[in-house]
Formats: sequence, C-alpha cells, structure tokens
Amino acid sequence: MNDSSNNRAGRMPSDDQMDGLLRDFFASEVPPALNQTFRRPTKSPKKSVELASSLTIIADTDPLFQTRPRGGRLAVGSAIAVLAMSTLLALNLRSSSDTSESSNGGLTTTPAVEAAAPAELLMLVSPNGDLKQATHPIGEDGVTLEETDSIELKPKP
Amino acid sequence: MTSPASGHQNDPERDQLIDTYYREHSRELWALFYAMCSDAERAYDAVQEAFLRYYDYHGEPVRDLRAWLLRVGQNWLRDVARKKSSSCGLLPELDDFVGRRESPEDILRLRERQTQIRTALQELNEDDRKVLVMKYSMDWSAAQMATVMDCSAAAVDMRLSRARRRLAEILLEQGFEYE
Repeated sequence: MNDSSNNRAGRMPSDDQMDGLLRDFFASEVPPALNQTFRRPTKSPKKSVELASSLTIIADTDPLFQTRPRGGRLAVGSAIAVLAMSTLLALNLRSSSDTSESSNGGLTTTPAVEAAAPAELLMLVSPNGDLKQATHPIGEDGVTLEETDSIELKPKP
Repeated sequence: MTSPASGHQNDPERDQLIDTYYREHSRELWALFYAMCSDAERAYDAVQEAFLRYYDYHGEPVRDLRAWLLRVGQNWLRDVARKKSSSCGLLPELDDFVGRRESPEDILRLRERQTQIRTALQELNEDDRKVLVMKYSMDWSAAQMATVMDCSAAAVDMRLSRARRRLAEILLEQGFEYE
C-alpha cells in the first residue's frame, strides 16, 4: 500500500507538466471557426428559390424522397378496396347468372339478376298492371316480363 | 451588460453590434458550454445556436445579453443531451491526414491522447472543469474567472490547483503516459 502510493506519487506529473499538457490540449480543442465572424443565415430570395427548386428536383428524382402523404395512401387503399369489391360482386353475379341459365335453359331470370337491378324500372306490359307478378311467366312459352322488356323494339319504317 | 438594439432584423447597426459581440464573447461562451458537455463541436454548435436565436429574436429588449445567450445555449445543450443520451466518438476521417506533416501514426496517437484527456475532464465536477477550461482555453486571470464564478480570486486559484491535481490523478488511473 505504502509502496504503491509512493510509486504513484513518484509518477504524478508536476504542475508545470499539467500546465503544458492542458495548454496543448485546449490549443487543438478550440474549433478554428470560433475565431471567425458570426455566420448569420442568408436571406437572399434568389438563393431561396434556387434552393427550393433544387430540393424539388431531388424529390422528383430520388426514390428516397418519393413519399406520399398518409391521406393519399388512404385514398389509394380505399379505391383499391372498392375496385376489388365491385370486381368480386360482378364475378359473383356472372357466375350466378351462368349457373341459372345452364340449369333452366336460359329461359327464366334468376333472383340474383332481380336483386342486381332493383333500380331499373321495368315497364309492365301485363294487362293485370302492377301486380308484382312480373317474374312469373305470362305465356305458355315461359317468357317473363323482364325478358320481353329486353327485346329491342324498332319503329316501323 | 445590455444588448445591442434588439428586435430589428435587417438593421445594419444591429448586425454590426452582433458581430462585435460575437467576436468578444463567443470564445467565453464556447468555454462555458464546453465545460458543460466536454464536446468541442457541440459547444461550438451551441454558440452558433444561441447567436442565431438572438439574431431571429423579436421580443422584449434583452437586458443582459450574455446571460440570455448562456441560457439559450445551455437549454439547447440539454435538449441535445436528452435526445442523444451518449455521444458517439467519430473515427478520424482519412481527409484529415492529407497535407499534414505528421505521420498518420503520430496523428492517431495525438488523437488518442486528446480523447484520454477529454474523458478525464468528464470525470471532474462541472466547476472544476469550468475553471480549467476558462484558464487554458481563454487564458483568463483568476480575477476574471472570479467574476464569472462569483467567488474570490483566491478561491479560484485554490480550485484551479485542486482541479489540476484531480485531473492528473484520473489520467494516472487511466494509464496516461506523459511525454
């Protein structure tokens, strides 16, 4: 213990040594820029415009800067979802229509078609008027009102 | 200490006064910030930040500009320290070796010594570090330091001697080799 403290005391630098060490240390530690004048921000409008246009160019070309705002992403996502839903619905309708046509020989309309076109106002030609019987066959050949409605009528020449 | 006429941007007179103030006080502010963070570059950034904030300042006239700048710089340093809890030492860049007379080995050795001293300084308390920074980076007298530290010149001398001794002990513990 005594030896180590004596040894340590022997290795202890003098005040002059420490003085020189700290002077050298701070001489290279102080940033040279500190001795220059204060660098205030430049406020030239021309430079600002140049900077803004260069940033725009970077944003246009660099994929790192090509980010979309969240609102834009949400809109794109919603549009894709709506598109997918409508495609699925159309496919579903088509497959239902094909199935019913193949099973009934294409002579009767399916409930899916009726459900798909509720907004279409069909012109009732039955003498019974609006009796909600439009889906029932009105003749012996099994033709329904919807099907007769789809026949194109052309004026006589 | 009163401030240059504040609150008027694009005022040549004010700009000149800021320049003068920067020349006269930036080194002192750097030393005080350095005593806080032991990072020369960050302390320099704090000086720049404080002066930039003052340059953009439009509020009430500043009564004591030195205290105002010190407070702004210290707050900025605290914010930076909070965001970046530990500073990472950057490796020396190869460009730093170009055009210098010393060999790369000498430069690296010098940098290693600088890092050791910096680390040892960080282990001192802030007042001890402050007194060493003011003495060796600004060459201030004990009387000048006493004004800043709000104590007597004799107390400053005593603190300086104690801080130097304590630093030497820390360096010895680190295995620092004196040349």
